[in-house]
This record gives sequence, C-alpha cells and structure tokens, in this order.
Amino acid sequence: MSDVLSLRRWFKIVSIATGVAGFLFVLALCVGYAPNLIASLKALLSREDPNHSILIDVRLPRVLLGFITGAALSLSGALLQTTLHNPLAEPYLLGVSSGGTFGATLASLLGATSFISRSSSALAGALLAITIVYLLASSTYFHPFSLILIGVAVNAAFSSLVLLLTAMLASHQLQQTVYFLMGTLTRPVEIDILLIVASIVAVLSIISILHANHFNALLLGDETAQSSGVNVKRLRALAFIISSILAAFCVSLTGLIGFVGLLVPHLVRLTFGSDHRILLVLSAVSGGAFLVVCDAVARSVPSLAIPVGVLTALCGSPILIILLWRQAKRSIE
Amino acid sequence: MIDVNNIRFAYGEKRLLDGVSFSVRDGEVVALAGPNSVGKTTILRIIVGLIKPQGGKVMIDGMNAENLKTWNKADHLAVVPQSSPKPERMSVLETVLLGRMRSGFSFDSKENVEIATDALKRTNTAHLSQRDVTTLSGGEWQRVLIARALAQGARNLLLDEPTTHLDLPHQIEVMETLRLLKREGKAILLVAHEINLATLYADRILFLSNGRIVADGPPKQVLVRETIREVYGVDVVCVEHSGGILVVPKRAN
Repeated sequence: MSDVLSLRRWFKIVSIATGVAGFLFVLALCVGYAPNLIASLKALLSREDPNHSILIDVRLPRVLLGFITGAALSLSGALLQTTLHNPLAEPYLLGVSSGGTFGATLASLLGATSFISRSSSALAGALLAITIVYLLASSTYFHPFSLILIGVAVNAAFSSLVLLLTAMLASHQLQQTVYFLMGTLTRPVEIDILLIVASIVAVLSIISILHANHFNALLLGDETAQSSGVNVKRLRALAFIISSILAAFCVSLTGLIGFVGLLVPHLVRLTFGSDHRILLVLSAVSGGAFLVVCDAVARSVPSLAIPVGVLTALCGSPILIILLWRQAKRSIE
Repeated sequence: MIDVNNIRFAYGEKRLLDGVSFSVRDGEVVALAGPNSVGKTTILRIIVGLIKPQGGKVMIDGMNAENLKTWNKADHLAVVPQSSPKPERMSVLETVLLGRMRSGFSFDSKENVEIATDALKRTNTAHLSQRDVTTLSGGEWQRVLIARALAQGARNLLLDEPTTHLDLPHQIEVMETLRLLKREGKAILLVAHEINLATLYADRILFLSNGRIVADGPPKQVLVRETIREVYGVDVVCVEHSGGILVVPKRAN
C-alpha cells in the first residue's frame, strides 16, 4: 500500500529532510561575508582563507544556535498541539515562553548571569506558566478558543511582569534586555554551552519520537488513547515537561522568538500528514532550517539588523489568522 | 463482558453518580440513556480509566479495570468517541491502523494492514480505504471510527452517542453495523440520545437519573410513560411499532 509508512519509507523521508536542512544550514553559514556564495564556500573549506576563522568562530555558533532554537521551538509546538488537541497551541502563544522570559529576566535582575542559573530560572517560569494554562483550560475541556484566550491572558500577565522587571534594570542592562525580548541570535553563546543544549534537545527529541505511537493514539481523543493502552495523564505531563524545558532553553539563549512552534509543525502536518513518527522528526529538522533561513534573511538586509523574532512574527501571524479562520469555519459547520 | 459495580463519583460538591451498577454481557447491545449532564459520558470515562471513581469498581472480562495496564487494555476495551477530530492529511486506512499501535513503531506491518482491511470490510467502508479522512461525511467517519475500534481487536466496545449529528440513513447505517458486531459476540455499551433508534437495536436500555440507574431491562419493559416522565420530566405516549416501542412526546399545551 502506497500510503502506509514502512520503516524504509520513514528513513527515506527523514534522510531527505535532514539533507535539505543540512544544505540550508551550510547556505545560511555562507550568506553575507565574502563577495558571493562560491567565495564563501571556498572560505569555509580552506583554512588559509582570511574569512575561514570568521565563518567558523563567529558565524557557525550563531547558525548552530538558530538551528537548535528553531528545532526546539518547533518540536515544543508540535507536542503541545497534539496533547492539547489544538493546532493553535505553541509555547509563545500559550505564554510558556513569556513565563520562561520572566524567569530569565528575574535571574538577571538578581545578578545571576550564568547560563545554568538563567535557564533554571527560565524553566521554573515556563513550568509555572504551562501549569496555570493547563489548570484553567481543563475547566473548559480544552476548548480551542478558550485555550488561546487563556494563553493570551497568561502571556499578558507574564509580559507585564517582565516589563516591570525591565523597568527595574540598570540602564546598561536595558538595551540588551529589550533586544532580547524581541528575540535575537546575535548574543554570543559559548560553543560548550551550545553543544550541551544541542545534546539535551537531541535527547528530548528522541524521547518524544519514541512516544510517537502514543501521540498518534491521542489524535482521536483522550478516550480512544486511554482505551488503546496509553496513560493519557502521564503522556500529557511528559509532553508538557519536554515542551517547557525546550522553551526555557530557547528563552535563555535567544529571548522571545514567536510563531516558529505554530508555523512549522502546521506546515509539516499539511505536507506530510499527522503521523507523529514523521511529524515530530520533520518538525524538529524543518524548525531548525526555518529559523536559520530567517536569520540569514534578517542578516541580509543592509544596515538594518532585524531581530529574527520580528521576522518569524511577520511570517507566523498571517498563518495564525488563517488557522483561527479555519477553526471558526469548522465550529460553524 | 463489562461489570460496573456501585460506582460513586462527584465533581466537587455535586454528586453525579451515586452507586451505579449494571453489566453488559457478551453478544449484547445495551443503551445507556438519560437527560443531558446526568453523567453518561462520565460513566464511559470511568470504565476507560480516564477518571477514577470515588467508590466502586469496574470489572472488564472478569478483571479489575484498574489492573489492566498499558497495551493489555487494548485487548479488552475499544472506544468510539462522540466527536473525534479528523487528523490532517491521513487516509482512512492509516486511521484504522491507529487501532494496531500496540505493535510498536512499525505498527503498519503487512499483518496489521490485513487486520485493518478486514475491519473496513466489516463496517462496509473498504471502498473508502485510500480517501483522506477530512473528505468523509459524518456517517462515513463514524463507521471508520468503529472500524478503528474493531482493528484494535477488543472484546468490548463503548460508543458515546455514535449517531449524534447524523441524518437518518447514516444513523441506521451505524446501528446496523453495531447489530453485526453483536452477532460476532461483542459486548456493546452505547450512550444513546435517540431513544427510538436505540429501542430498535438495543437488547436492554438503562435509564440514568439523579445519579442512579432507575430502569434496566428490555425496551418493551422499561419504555413506559411513567419511567420517561420520571427520567426526563416530560409526558409521552409509548406505542408498539414494528416490533419495537415508539416514544412520542406530547405537546406541552
């Protein structure tokens, strides 16, 4: 049967997607320095080239950071959308990222500048936000519009708290924080930290993919999943914890980058279907590639360093409007 | 076989189920009826294990439902929910294969595809096999969900208002499918809104009211004016028709 996913077909799709993402990664690495792309590729391959060290030491960490962040945000969105039965769910719209930002900003205000303290504080904030959203949404049986409204409210509450903390920051910290709130990949991150975060994202991705069957069972509702042998409560808790950890790391490293978790899983679902064995892998890989490309575009605008979060919001907001319109149409039907 | 023994459940201060007991034997269709918000779906969610009752127990095929762990539960219990979202870009065959997920990551093996195809034939939906589920009508989608439950291979079937939002031909299609499954020896518990349809196909009707089962028996026995008035608070006429009972509501004035 052509439409049944064999392991062979799974490997084929994943390999092609990874190959395309790898190509975009290299392309993004080369955009912007040497006079043209060929010269950049030569510089990348030749140690003697004067641009080589710039590409490896400056550009590579930034592109790697973009890929990790995009993959994490997209995977986080895919998990939330499935477990909340809502295509509009994503860490940014549900206030999870704002919760994380609150935690990270609080840590900065208290003088905790190390990556571990900032990300631990961000994780606490993200978990707090998702717990509030879950408790409030469960009382409305996770109705799609109620969930989004609750997310908007939680987002607004944490954003206000972040602004309050920002007002209390010293002037030398202010500009950096404001830029951080717009979502940026310009902040230098040590390669060791990047590798640690990359490993954590990879492990969480593998755990999620190993549960792909359980997430598939959830596609037809909680009752169906539970009777199929899935412990729905445990699975939902696992998805929330993974999503929060992913969002918290992203916030600690890059600030608020919205809509990646909404846009990418949705496009993957529309192109490749709802099977989580494909959806989760491709969401992560495509999310990474998407953010890397967005950053390359943002960098390419002469004399204007557009924060990448602004660009993702520009791409994502029309998709949100389309999704809301489709939801409303389905409700009427 | 499903045995529900003395189930008690309350949402906060509101006591919803106050000692509910009944059983569904193999090869039997039992319709659970009652007014809105009386706790019918809650009973289903308790049987499935999504909600823990505050008292009583559920036995499935002679085993305590609480002890049925993970994939083992799939052998005993399958659910057809009231309104299931249609997954984006998924074929009918892929949806039915979701019933075989306990087979692991590669659940769409040749053997499982054969089981799914057989389930599609039994629900008269084999011709839809390659269709995208988002293009199905309400009746077709409901039968595909029943096929998914059959592919699971469970001995007991729970259906939550499977004919809601369906027009008459589709309602009959779904109920005829259940009649065939009853012949295969399945124990079928059906939450029913449409009493007249249920009387044609159910062996027994249970009426749930004020947290208790107030009537349990064959349609001819329980569908009487007094019971309907007690359960729904409305006046009706019950007439024999085509071997069943027809419940006709009286106008208020």
